[in-house]
Amino acid sequence: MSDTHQTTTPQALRRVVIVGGGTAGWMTAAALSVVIDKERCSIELIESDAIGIVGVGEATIPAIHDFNRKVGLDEQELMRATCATFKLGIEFVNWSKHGDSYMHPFGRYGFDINGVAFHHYWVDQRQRGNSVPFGEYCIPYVAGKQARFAMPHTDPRSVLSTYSYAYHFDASLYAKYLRKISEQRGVVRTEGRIIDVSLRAADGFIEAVTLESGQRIEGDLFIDCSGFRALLIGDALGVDYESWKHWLPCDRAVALPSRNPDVLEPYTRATAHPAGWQWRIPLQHRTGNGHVYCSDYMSDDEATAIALEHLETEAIDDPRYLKFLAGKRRRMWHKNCVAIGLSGGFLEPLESTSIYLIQAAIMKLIERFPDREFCANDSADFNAQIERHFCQIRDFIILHYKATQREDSDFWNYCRTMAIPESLEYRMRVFRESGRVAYSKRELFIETNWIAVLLGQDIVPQQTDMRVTCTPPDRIATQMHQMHEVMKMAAASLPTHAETVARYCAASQAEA
Amino acid sequence: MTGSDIKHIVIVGDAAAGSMTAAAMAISLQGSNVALSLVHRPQTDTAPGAFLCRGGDDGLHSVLGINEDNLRADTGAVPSLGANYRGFVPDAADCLVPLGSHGKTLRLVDFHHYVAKLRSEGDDTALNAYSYQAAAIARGRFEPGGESTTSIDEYDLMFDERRYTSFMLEHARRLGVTTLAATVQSITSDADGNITSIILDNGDSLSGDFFVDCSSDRCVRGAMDNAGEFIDWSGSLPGSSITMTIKEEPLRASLCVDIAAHDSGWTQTLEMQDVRFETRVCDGAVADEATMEAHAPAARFSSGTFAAHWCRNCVALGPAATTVPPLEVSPMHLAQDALRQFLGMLPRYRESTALADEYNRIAAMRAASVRDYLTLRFALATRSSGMFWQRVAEIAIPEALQQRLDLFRCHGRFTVRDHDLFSKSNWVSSFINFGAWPASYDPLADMIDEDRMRADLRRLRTEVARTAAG
Repeated sequence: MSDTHQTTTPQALRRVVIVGGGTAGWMTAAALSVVIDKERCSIELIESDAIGIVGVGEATIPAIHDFNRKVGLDEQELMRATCATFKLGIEFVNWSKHGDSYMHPFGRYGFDINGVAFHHYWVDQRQRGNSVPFGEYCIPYVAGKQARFAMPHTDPRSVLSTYSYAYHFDASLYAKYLRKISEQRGVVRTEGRIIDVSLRAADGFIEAVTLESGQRIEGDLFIDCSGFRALLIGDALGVDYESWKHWLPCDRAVALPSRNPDVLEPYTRATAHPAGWQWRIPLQHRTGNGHVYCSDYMSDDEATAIALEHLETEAIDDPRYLKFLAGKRRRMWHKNCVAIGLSGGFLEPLESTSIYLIQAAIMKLIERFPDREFCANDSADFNAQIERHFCQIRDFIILHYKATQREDSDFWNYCRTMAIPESLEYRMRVFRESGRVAYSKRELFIETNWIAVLLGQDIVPQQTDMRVTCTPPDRIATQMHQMHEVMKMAAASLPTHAETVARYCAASQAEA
Repeated sequence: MTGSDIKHIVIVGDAAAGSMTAAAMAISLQGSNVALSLVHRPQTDTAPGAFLCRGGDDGLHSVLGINEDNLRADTGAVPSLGANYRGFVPDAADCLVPLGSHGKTLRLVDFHHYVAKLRSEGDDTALNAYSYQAAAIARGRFEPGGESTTSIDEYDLMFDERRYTSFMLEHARRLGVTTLAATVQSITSDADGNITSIILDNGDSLSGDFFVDCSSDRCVRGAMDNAGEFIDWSGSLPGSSITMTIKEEPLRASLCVDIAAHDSGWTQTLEMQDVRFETRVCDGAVADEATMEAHAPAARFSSGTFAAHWCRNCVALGPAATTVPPLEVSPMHLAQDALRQFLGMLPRYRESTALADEYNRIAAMRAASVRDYLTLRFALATRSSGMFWQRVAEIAIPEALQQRLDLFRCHGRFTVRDHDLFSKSNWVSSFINFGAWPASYDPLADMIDEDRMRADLRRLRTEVARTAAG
């Protein structure tokens, strides 16, 4: 039997057009190139070298492994090509109050005892005077603070299997790497700036885009990866943007790369400032830094000065400024256009979710992949699912601002007292009163993530699980002491992060 | 703060639900200072019956560390691998909805799309040709944990209610639960509406700090002031009376629940080793031949659930919380599922508003999910013979179910929701086995090499058939 036997639904798409390169565009191209047979449906990406990319997110979360697996990306090759380092979590400094710090690690805390989550015992023991910090029961925290990293063990009995990891990488190198992969897989790149979008008279669907050169590119499905410009979903189709500035007031960032420090730490740091916060992301060839701030409370010059003052190493480039507005498009999929990346919505990079949101939209698009009928049930379902993701992540980020005791600036006074979404209000109340996290298994951030941040931001539950009383407290104390010792020993046995990077994924000179 | 003001929990519930709840709570609270009492009808009053609950690693028994092999040996339980609906869709043969999944996702596309694609090309291989459960039912052979059946990880267990109750009562007593054979006459409450004690038929009163009602007549919860709204599902789920017949005859274990439509309703049959429990479901009191030979008179029921399952210091659980008509989901499925939630949310104080709110939030979602899963069978039923089925054609389809139907009918898509009780595979299997094939399959199913895909599917079919035969 030959190709002639191959059948296709009559309404199958023939041309997918991705508008915009950058992280979102090339992630989409790479992923679609796995599931689409280019003989039957072409994938074309239009980008202009003249337009810079925002390069969202230099830090990722462990969910990226799922993307890499589905898209067939080789981890070592990817890490080498993007000057990547390993990431065990995010350290939050000065968030609940000045001088405080905690980590949101990619791993479990302690071990369940009699089927009851560890944090209940930790809270109970703390009331009894045990003062070992929560993080000390978590491998990523203990290892991270010692700048150690090795791949997690696969044997579930090992304490070194209780964590995961993500990457810090150079986002422009990431886009470049994915472009290479996509082009190898038959994605066609067209250079040019789009000057016109034409809609079908009958139904307002996008028919074609026209480039500066006069070239007209038609398509069945258009994916808007044009960033904040939102050329298709916003300008051409007029789908509104819903602002969440009242919950997430930061609307500016200044990015400042600096030299590498002597010690390569395997985690992101987010330090709170008077009107925002500063990221620090260690890469192989430089350190990424940036100050996210709210223009209502701080000028660009002030923000730059604060950022410079907090650099751990010397700056190696001029400051670069970004403007944004937290929120999302009312519909990410409208007619035959799907917005992926910043054109669809923006949440500040506090929890490194930008790349995840791109990934989630791509995977959902693949699950709901259309034909030329563009079934409204499928796009409505897509929109509902993506909206849900955005709202849950939004709540998680707002929590960091809301659960603070800081009274040292107007910005923090606003955040501490602002009204928050009912869904978050509810989660905070349930945790405060019962020690339970109200979450569902389908969320990106699950129980351990919420507990890390809730306890980290000093929300301590008033009640613990009743089953905590089934075990005598002194026996719990002994078990917890043993856990702590095991964690310390296991962490100390790991090589340094720098050693692991050098051995596993050292970038070639060309990349660095 | 380190103490707890709940010292005594009173469980009220008969037969399987009461004894199992008592045993499960006793296991969970071993070592604590909390005392447990169970008030139940005398065992001699327990009507004979059978029920289903989830077995294997997914089941509550294994979560609690109750050895399933011992439990099965002591109670004579038999496995059930699905439900066979007969006569719901008259132009189709039986609609067998097996548990478990059909095939695996291929190249990010769910398996059933490939089957739908082949079907669009004239290949009418049934989805169930890819189900290990369906193959085992056809062969009439399945032993949980058996070597040749490792591909079957999802199965139910069918229990004789009396034998199960004895097992669980003994378990509960061994763990220190005080059991009282009595019925509840009334309750007393304090000014806040919290229950302080229950009054029994022998005149005794039993005080407690927290009450778990798993009785099928909601005798505690129903007696509370402001017990809360009971949401009536009879607009979506038909049936309001049941009669049970017990037939003692040696039978080949059918390994599934049989649900056969007749003009005035349907009959659910559970087959144990040498006894068969037939439950005839009708609307209203219909006296017909089957009813006449029944051992027990027709009992009325009304499908629905409490809007809030946990109210002040009382939680309604399983049969006390939710009633569904007898199909493939039994009250014990619901009781065990509720217990899994509740055991992780046991209150230490009577004022545990946040826990109650969270429990109720989850319970409401799970109840709605069960309602929709069962309503789907009537939404897809096309039988028109008999008044009963003419009314079924007019049932109200809940909005969430309508969305799921619309989404599936268009391109065979399905979205799992928070706290769904059934998996995507279970839903897809229900749609397709009731004949609701999607109008079109996932276009990405066209992107894979068709010869390879056909070969993959053929291999799986052979593997399924071989495993069942082995």
